[in-house]
Amino acid sequence: MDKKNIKGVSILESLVCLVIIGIGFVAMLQLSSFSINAMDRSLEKNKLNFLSEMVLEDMIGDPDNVSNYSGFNQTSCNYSAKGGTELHKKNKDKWRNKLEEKNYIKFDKGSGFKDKKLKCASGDSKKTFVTNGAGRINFFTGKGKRKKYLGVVVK
Amino acid sequence: MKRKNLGFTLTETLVAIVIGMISVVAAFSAYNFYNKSYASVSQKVAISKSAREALSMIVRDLRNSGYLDPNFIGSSAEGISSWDSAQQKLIEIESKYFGNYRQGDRLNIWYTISPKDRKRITYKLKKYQNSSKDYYLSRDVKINPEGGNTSHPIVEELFVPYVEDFQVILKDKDGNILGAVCHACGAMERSYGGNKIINGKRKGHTNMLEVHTAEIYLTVRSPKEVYSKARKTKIQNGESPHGSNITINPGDKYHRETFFVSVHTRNLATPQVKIASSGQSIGVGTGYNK
Repeated sequence: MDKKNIKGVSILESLVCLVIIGIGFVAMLQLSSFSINAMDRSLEKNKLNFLSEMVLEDMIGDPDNVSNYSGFNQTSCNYSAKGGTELHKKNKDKWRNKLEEKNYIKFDKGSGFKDKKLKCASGDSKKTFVTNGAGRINFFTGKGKRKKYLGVVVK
Repeated sequence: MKRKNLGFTLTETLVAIVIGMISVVAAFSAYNFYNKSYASVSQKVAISKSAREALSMIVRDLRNSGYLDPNFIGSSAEGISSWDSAQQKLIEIESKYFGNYRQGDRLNIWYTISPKDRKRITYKLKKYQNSSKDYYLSRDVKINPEGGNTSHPIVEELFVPYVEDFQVILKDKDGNILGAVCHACGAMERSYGGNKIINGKRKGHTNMLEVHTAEIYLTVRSPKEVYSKARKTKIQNGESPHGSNITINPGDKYHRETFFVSVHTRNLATPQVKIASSGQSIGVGTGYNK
């Protein structure tokens, strides 16, 4: 037995192998971080659902003026103007304030205070529809991609 | 005989060890990160769950608030002799007095559960027994509290843990804040004329019949610290001067969230209805609301 060449794995080969495994590993990590994000997002969506219940409750509380609640359309993320003296105007004003970006979780965004709000992207909108005494509220979130609506019979 | 034994050289081994170390550290820090974010998310979920369940219960109570059975008769157990005196206890708040920051409200709700019996539900912030600054939202239910009924002692059981602010803003049918809705008026209610007598009735009492909407704000803190760095927090719930304005500075590592709900109080702010048998009237004047 002479001149036997025992060949092992070279360092280059093992490095390439490591990189390939690493890519798979990173993909797995991204999967779990995505799932954590999804949980956070579902909390926010939940919150939005409850806010929309507020809108519907306000409609139920003012059934004589229900037609005035139609056509509410909040597209921008900030709102500062004030409504009128009638209840439906005040209510719409309240919704605008609650749905405003800085109020999503209702902590004031002052200087030095950590931004804890759900991002409001351009294209996100909140709309109400009222037909024949039934009210519906539409939400578009996440750059207007995610659609959600809730409805109620007002009268 | 020449035999060639090829092993790893020292440099190769060192490089292998370094790479191995890096991957172990990466795996460990990833584990750490997920552990932390799991903790923070589960705290958030716990807050959200307890607050939402509590709010739905408060909403149910508020929808019942002020319900007087049409056959309601004065009972000695309740200590009420007339319809008028029954209408003095429907809904009540005491503003800006409770909690760690002395800005929380107390909410009292009354409604009849039979022609003879009435229930009172109280929500307020209460301090934990072994703590100097932690509060919880308590809920207390009592049947016929006015008639000297001792069979239902005040319990004030824990309803929502670690609550920092509880605000109730009551509004009339035009969306204006009702400053004084009270039977036993607190300082804030007195400053809004809760004890003033107008047309033979106290303003705090007549205001009860005008409550159209109740807005509830509940700020809950995570039981455990969530963040790695302390952060300042500002809590502003409701409109000034009835709402709260709390600044937590220097900050802490807790997570806080505010939950909001607005309720239409169905039994209050209703039009006047007369009871056929007695001719007594329920609710405010005709045409007040439909």
